[in-house]
Amino acid sequence: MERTTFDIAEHKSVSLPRRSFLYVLGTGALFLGTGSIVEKMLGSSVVGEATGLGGYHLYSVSGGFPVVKPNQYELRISGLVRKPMTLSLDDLYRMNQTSIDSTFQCVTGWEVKNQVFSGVSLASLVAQSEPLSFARFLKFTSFDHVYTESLSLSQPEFHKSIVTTHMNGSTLSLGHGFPVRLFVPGNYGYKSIKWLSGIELVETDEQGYWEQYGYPVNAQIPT
Amino acid sequence: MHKFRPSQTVGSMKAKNYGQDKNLGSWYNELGPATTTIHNLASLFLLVCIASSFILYIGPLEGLIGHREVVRELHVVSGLLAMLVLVVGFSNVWGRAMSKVWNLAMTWSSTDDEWIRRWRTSLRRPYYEESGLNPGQKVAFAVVVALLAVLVVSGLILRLFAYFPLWLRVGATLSHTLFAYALVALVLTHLYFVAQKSFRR
Repeated sequence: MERTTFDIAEHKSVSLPRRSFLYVLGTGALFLGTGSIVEKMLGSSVVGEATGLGGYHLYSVSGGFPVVKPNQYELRISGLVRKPMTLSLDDLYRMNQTSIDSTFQCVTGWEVKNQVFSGVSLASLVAQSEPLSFARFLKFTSFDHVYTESLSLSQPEFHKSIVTTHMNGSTLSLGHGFPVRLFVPGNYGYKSIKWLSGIELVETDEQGYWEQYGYPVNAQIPT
Repeated sequence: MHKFRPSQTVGSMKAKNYGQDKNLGSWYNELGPATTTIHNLASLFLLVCIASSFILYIGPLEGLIGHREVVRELHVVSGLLAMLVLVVGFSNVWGRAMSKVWNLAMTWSSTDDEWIRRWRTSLRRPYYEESGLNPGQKVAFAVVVALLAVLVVSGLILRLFAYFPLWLRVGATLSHTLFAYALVALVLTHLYFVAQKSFRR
C-alpha cells in the first residue's frame, strides 16, 4: 500500500532538533556553572586568549585610544599638597622603579595571570608632593578627558599601587594606556586607569567614570 | 518507493501544503506576514547586536571607535529587542507566529533521519523533497533558539554583574563568548545558503 503520510508518534523518541535544543541548553548551563573551574584548571582565560591580545580585552571609553607624544607627556600631582608637581616621562623613568607580579582581573569575568607591572610606587609619588593632613582620597584623570578614577589613601592597595610605565618588560602599548597607566593590585581592572595624566588629592571621594555607571567604588576582588 | 510527506497536522500548519510549490522560499512566505515580519525584525536587531559585539571584542576596532559604554548599551538593547520580538512571536499577541515555526522544526520523521544519515556518510547535502524546513534547518533552528536562550541569560548576568558572584560572571563570560561564536557561525552559514539561493533544498 502506498504510504503518503507519516505517523509522527512512532518517531517521537528520535527528534534530533529537540535533543539538540536540550544539549545546547545543558552545555550552556554547564559552562555557566563551571566556567571558573575550567579556567582555573587551564590556568588562563579561554575567552581572553581567544581575542589574540595576550588574554586582554582592550577598552576605551572615549573615541578610540588617545595618543600623546612621549616628550609631550606630563603627569600633574595637585590638590591638597604642599608641593604640586608636574613630571615628564623621563622624570618618571629616573625615579626608583618597582615591579609587581599580579593577576589582571576584569570585573566582567576575564582575567590574565602573571602580569608584571613596573614603574614608580604611587605612595612614594604622593609622599614627595607632601599631602596636607586633611587629604583623604586620590582622584585620577586621563588625557582622554573622559576616564576618571579614585582611590582612598587609607586603603591597603594604595601602598601597593604602581604608576606603570612598563608591562612584562616592555613599554605600555597604546591600548594598555601608553605612556602611563595606574595598576591597583587586588582590585578589578577598572580601577587601573589608563592614559594617566593627573593625580589630585581631595578631601571627599568623587565617583570615577565606571562608578557613575553603577560599578562599586570598592573594587576589591573577593578572595 | 515510499514518498513520505511530513505531517501537516501540527498546530496551525494543518491547512498548508508547503511541498507543492517548488519556488524557493515560497513555504516561508506562506507562514504569513507575522512570521516574516518577526524574522526580519529579529534579524535586524540581531545583526546590530553582532556588529556591536565585534567592536566590543576586537581590540583594533575598539581602538578606532571607543565609546565602550555606548557600544555596550547598543549591544545589550539590540539583543534584548531581538529577544522581545521573538517572545512576542511565541506568544498569543501575534497569532503564535513563531510557535508555528517551532512546531515545524520539531516535527521529525524517518525521512529526516535518512537525510541526516546520508549527509553524514556522503558529506554532501542530500536533496530533500518534503515540505517546509529540511532536517538541517530544523536542527539549526533548535540550536539557535537554545543559543539565544543561553546568550540572554549569560548576557543579563554580565550586564547586571553587581548582583552575581565572580565565579558566575566568569562562567557567563565563557558561555556568552563561546556561544556567540557559534551563533555568528550559524548566521553566516544561513546567509551563505540564502546567497546561494539554495536555502531550502
